[in-house]
Amino acid sequence: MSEAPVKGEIRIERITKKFGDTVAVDDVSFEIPGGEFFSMLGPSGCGKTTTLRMIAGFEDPTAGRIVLEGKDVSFVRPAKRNVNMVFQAYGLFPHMTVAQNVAFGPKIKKVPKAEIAERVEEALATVRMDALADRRPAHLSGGQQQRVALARALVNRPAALLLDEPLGALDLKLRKEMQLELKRIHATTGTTFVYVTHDQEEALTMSQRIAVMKDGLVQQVATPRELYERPANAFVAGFIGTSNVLTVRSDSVRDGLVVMDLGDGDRICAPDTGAGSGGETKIIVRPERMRVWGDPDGEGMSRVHGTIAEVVYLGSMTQLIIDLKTGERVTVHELNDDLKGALPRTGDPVVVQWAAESSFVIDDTAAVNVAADLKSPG
Amino acid sequence: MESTAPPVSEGRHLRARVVRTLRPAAFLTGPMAVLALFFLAPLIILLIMSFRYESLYGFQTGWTLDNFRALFTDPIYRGVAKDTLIIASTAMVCQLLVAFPLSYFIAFKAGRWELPLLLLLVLVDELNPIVRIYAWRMLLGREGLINDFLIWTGIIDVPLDWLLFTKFSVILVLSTSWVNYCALPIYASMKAIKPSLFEAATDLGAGWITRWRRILIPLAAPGIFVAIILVYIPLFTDFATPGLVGGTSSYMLGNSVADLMVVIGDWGAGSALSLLMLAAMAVVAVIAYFLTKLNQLD
Amino acid sequence: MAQAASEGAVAPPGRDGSASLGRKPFAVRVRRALDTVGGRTFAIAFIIVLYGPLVMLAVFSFNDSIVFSLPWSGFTTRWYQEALGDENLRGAIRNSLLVASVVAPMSVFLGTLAAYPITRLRFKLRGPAAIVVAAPLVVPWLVIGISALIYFSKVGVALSWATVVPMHIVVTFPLVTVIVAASLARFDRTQEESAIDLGASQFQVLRHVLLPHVAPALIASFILAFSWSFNNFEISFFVGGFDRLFPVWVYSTLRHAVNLPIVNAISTLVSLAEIAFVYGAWLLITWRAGARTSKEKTETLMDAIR
Repeated sequence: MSEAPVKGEIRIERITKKFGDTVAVDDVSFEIPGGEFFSMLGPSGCGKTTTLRMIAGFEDPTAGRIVLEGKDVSFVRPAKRNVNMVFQAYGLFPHMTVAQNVAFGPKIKKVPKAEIAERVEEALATVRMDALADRRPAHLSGGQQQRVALARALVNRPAALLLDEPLGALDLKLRKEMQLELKRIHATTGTTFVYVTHDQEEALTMSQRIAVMKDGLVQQVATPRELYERPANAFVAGFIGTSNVLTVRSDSVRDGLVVMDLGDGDRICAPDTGAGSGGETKIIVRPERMRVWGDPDGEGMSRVHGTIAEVVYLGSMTQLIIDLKTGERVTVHELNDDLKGALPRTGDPVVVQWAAESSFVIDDTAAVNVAADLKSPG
Repeated sequence: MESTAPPVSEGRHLRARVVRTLRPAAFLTGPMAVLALFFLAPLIILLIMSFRYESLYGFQTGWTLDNFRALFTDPIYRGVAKDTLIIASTAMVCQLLVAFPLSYFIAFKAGRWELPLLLLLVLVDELNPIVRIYAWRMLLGREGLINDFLIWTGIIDVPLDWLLFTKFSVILVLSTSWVNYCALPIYASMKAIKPSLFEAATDLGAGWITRWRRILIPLAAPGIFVAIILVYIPLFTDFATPGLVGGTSSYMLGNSVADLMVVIGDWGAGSALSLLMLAAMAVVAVIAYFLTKLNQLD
Repeated sequence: MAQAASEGAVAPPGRDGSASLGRKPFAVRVRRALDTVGGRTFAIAFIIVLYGPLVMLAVFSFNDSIVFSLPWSGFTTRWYQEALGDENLRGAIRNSLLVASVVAPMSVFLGTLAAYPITRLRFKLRGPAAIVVAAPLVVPWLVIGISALIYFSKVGVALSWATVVPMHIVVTFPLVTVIVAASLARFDRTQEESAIDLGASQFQVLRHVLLPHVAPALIASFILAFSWSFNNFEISFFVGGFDRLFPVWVYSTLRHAVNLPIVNAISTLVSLAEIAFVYGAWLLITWRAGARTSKEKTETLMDAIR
């Protein structure tokens, strides 16, 4: 069946990659619409870089296929694919100037000289390196080299740009600057960006959609907000942002909530998954949904006494590490604006409260997320 | 929409495997042919020769162990072998004694001069060794410059005889040959030591002797052994130096071989002796090679 | 108070263990001075011992006397004229130059051919191949020369160009392999992948990316191969016939006469030429690659030796 090729669309269909007996990528599928900023996120060894290299053509898939703009390019050589890669180590040619580096791609493709000069200028302007066109890579800083690598890829007007943890070698401040730069360049050029990183904050900052991977499998593909607020499983919940995991024993069921009684008016309420009384479930609550010094109230509120183990003051907010009387340890983020009075100290007794809707039930194996059925929090 | 791997991959795998075995072969045929023809074949012939009566002026033919027997029983050869061992080993030790501090200096203390010094070291290799040996002969002779200088300053009255055509001269000149091959590996292994190791040791209270003993020498050891492999073999088998600055008392095995082959014409014995030397050097090389790996055993 | 401010007391914790403040600053200063001064004198002494004889040779090549003694007899260039007039000598130098000019390119060619698969391709016999190629560097040249002598006579080839050139090549190309292999091994794969990603064919990658990287190694190994061939004595002695190559000529002349000043003269000339040659090549290499990598070049050499 032929569909009109969409510019920059990439389809990964049931891709598997084995190195000997090791399975690096296990039956992975997802679609990237043209022009999207898409990230693959996960810990080392999860298969994200391998997948990227298969899209680029440096690895052949063991099974499955890669469809670029409607064409099957699974075994097409990297030189012939209309995608370009920005490597982690930049790979700039040391014996050429910045301009010559950027001109390399068009020159190989035998673009006429006048047009090359024009395109090089354009590309360098996009990454704001036009002033340094005659420098050699050795005389550039890390961030500058990064941008040249970017220009060198963009100048070819590829259907998609593949980036392999390009910001890893930069210091924090520069990294953050570059993240915003990349976002801007993406908006300006409209090229599909496929980005690989292990830094969840980075992925959340730049991407329109993220594929979270672990051990060669895709755990969830969603927008940053969905990943954060409705993680598919415990891994995603733990990987994206901080999360607190609590065990809830359902002592009774009331109004669609299971309740665990802890005495002294303390209780934990969680959405009922239909397990009935006597069962046990795990829930996850985000740190900012738990309150310690805000004004709580209402039915269906979980409420537990605890002691403060650590106070970490972070300027706009404070991170409190609290040992609940259930024996579990939780992290609570509170805005300092809401604080009236002095900061609590280690050893202070506190009461931690949160709404039942702020928690979602987690099951490691299945993608159960009952909170999606309730009204979405916030 | 199919979602299984297309059959194309099978053909590609096979093709890739064929290419993978052909390509190295294509590259290596030339070099290997040259080596086989001009390096391995001669060595094999050498091996064979050492077991035959092969003499340009002799009369017997056939297989024999006499060549080896003669070498082991004849006291002359034993004497020469002993001399060679003494001379080569002394020269080796001298070179190490000089190269080690020198490498240390260049690696850590030379600053601006590091590059020029290295260049000078490398440059020596470009100069003709025979010329250098000859230059030393000029200096060491009875009417040579060194004697002239010593007499002129009044340290001695009569020129020293033992400067030239003795074991001393051979050892001296050998000590200055291939020094760059001695110093460079040591320098390289020293360069690989992170200076922070020294700083840490100092911080923990180690004086320089301890630092040298515990850090520098163990970490530079592989370089030392590489230096030995590279230098000892040429030292031991050298015959130009004794030929030009050695006297009758400093005849080395290399000279023996050269004589046997060219002057006496007893190729059988010459081969046998070369073979023995080769074997001895192989043993040295292997031992030293394993010693370089010593550090990595931990 | 003067002590606390003195050099020794505030010396950084470095080579002299002066982590303690104020204690024995003088001793520390002496030791540090000895360190640098001692080190420098040592290095200078070393250079003198190494190059001194040659310098003396050069100086005395202008001395108007057969004897190598101090009473300076007067400045003359007659030894140079005699040297250049000597038929045998001219022939020997010409031969050595010709041989070296054939040997060097062939060595670089063969050496690179061997270096490429050993570093960049993966195949089962890679280890043994590397050992075989490196073997001529470890086997004493004496043994190689002798075995070649016997071999050629058995095979029936007369001692001549045909015997000298291949033997020189055999002992020099492994060195080229080592040097080029070191350079290839250090080649940044990312550059290669970038080039491919940007559309370059294998050949284009070779030409535009790999070659510039390897060029210094190629030049350096050419220089080394050339000088090894020109200066080679042990092998030439056995397979080159007598007096036909320069180092052998010097050796034979010296064995049979005592001091020939023309040897001085020609030696000086040759040495100067060699120095100029190497220095020129050095400049070429560093100019191509930029000053920073000239350090790298020597490092390549040393990696190579390792």
